[in-house]
Amino acid sequence: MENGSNLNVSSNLMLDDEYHKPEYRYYPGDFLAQVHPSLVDSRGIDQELTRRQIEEYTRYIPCLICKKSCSGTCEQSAIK
Amino acid sequence: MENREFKSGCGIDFGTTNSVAAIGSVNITNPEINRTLPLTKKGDGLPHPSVVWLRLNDPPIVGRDAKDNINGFSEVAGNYFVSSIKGQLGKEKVFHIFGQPKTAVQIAGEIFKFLKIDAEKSHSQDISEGVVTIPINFDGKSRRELRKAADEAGFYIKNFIHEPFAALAGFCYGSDSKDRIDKLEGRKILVFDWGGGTLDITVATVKDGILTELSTSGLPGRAGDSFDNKLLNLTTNRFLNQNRLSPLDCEMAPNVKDRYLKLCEDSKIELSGNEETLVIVTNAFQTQSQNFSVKERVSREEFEREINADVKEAMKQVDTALEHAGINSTEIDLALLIGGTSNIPIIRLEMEERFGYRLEEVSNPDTIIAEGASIIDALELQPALARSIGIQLSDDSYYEVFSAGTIAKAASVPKQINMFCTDNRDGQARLIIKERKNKDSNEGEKTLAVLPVPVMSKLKPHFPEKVTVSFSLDEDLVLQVIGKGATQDINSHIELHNLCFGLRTL
Repeated sequence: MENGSNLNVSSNLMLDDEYHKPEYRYYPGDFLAQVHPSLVDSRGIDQELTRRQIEEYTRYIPCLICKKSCSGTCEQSAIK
Repeated sequence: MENREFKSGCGIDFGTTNSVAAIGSVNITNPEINRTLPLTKKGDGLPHPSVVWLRLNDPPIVGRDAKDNINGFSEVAGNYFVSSIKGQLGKEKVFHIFGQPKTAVQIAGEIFKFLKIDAEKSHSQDISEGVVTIPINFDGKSRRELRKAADEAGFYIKNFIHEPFAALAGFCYGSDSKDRIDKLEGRKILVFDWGGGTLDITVATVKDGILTELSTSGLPGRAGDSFDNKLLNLTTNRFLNQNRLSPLDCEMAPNVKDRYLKLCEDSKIELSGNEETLVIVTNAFQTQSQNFSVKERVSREEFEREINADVKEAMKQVDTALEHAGINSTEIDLALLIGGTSNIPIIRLEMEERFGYRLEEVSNPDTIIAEGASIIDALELQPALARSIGIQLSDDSYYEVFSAGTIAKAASVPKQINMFCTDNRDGQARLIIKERKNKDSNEGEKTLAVLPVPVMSKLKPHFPEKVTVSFSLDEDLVLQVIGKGATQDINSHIELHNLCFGLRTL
């Protein structure tokens, strides 16, 4: 949170050196689901994705109750 | 500039309202005995007004002689006065004077030439290189034009330094400052410098004998010059109202504005000592049939009402500087008040309320900035990054590009970093440039800028485009960052000038 805003800009750049090579563990989870849908298959998701990627992925899955990407924040979800 | 006993340096405070050079000398056998000599106008001991008087058939006149003749010549054909040229630097400003184009750089160059000649003639000092001071918000373009102006006069700028930080250096290392730097070890100092063109604030500390900026804050365009304009508007409006004149049929006489502003400046200065002033401007306005003179009384209270919003904003800038330094006003051990505008009683009062007995007046407020710059040059102190500069990576970790303490010259060679884009959905890589106290802790972390770098937005199969990033600190202490995507033809570029520095020896 900077300059009074609660929005954060995230970086989408990673080092390309001997310790860091382009690997999908550096991609945001929601993006990974678009380019490699097989990786977010529910059977292997815990093994293939980092905790953060899972959070990022699930954030954009439509809510069963409100049908929007509410990340569990909609009124109905909260009551539930 | 050396003799057997002393090593000398030069500093120039190129100010909006006044400019002055100084010579700093360090005793080689006893470094604690430093001396600074301000090269003020012979006779009055004051800095030189930054006024250039251009004449059609004669060479330009600069300084006090120019300022003192505004009243007599500003409305006479073949004469053109330029004040506050500093504020025009960085804008590629071109004046059309006597039918010829003249750039702001050339006019500023006249002031450097004058300072150089005056140093030689009046003080027998040869100044050809040294440290020049700049306001906090002086950006890369302004710095480059200032450097060009100095070049025109044959003066080489070795380094730039923030004006309030130079003042602090003058306080710590200048004449009669014996042991002061040791006494300030671990202390936190705020320098409030409100001059003619800008308000500049530095919060600094001394750590292991090294003077380091903790934060800076600045307010361009709301300073002494704009207060003169406010006084002009106040008296103009009152004059028009009292005489039931409309601005549509009564206008300011041609070329009278320079004279009017000069008289407003004199009145403003008078109001710092008196409760009331009288602004008299002969033949200031004209209708088709008649000339009018302005004769308006202004009380200090009225003037303070006019500048009240600016004073409040200035105090906000103090808060901002303290906040960025991560401290509150009670943690400040010493507050220095300098600059002509700081003499206005309401400002002194506000600062006294905040800092009480910790507010210190310096004995040489008109010249301390130049003296500080000169002693920095004599001591061969080099600007060094006060904070670590780095990049935020996609996993939120921090990659350090330049560590805190890196001497600026060492960071002048571009440092290239190879990266790849982890999410190209929007066709842009986001290079987040950060600074923090040191690389291992996110204490005092601040985003300096986000540089968008175009990449190809191809999704399937995902293409992790390579992005090359380059960081360097140029000779004007501006951080230059360039990014380029492998599939793109264009470079993305950003300049960052709002960095903090410390002063180290090589």
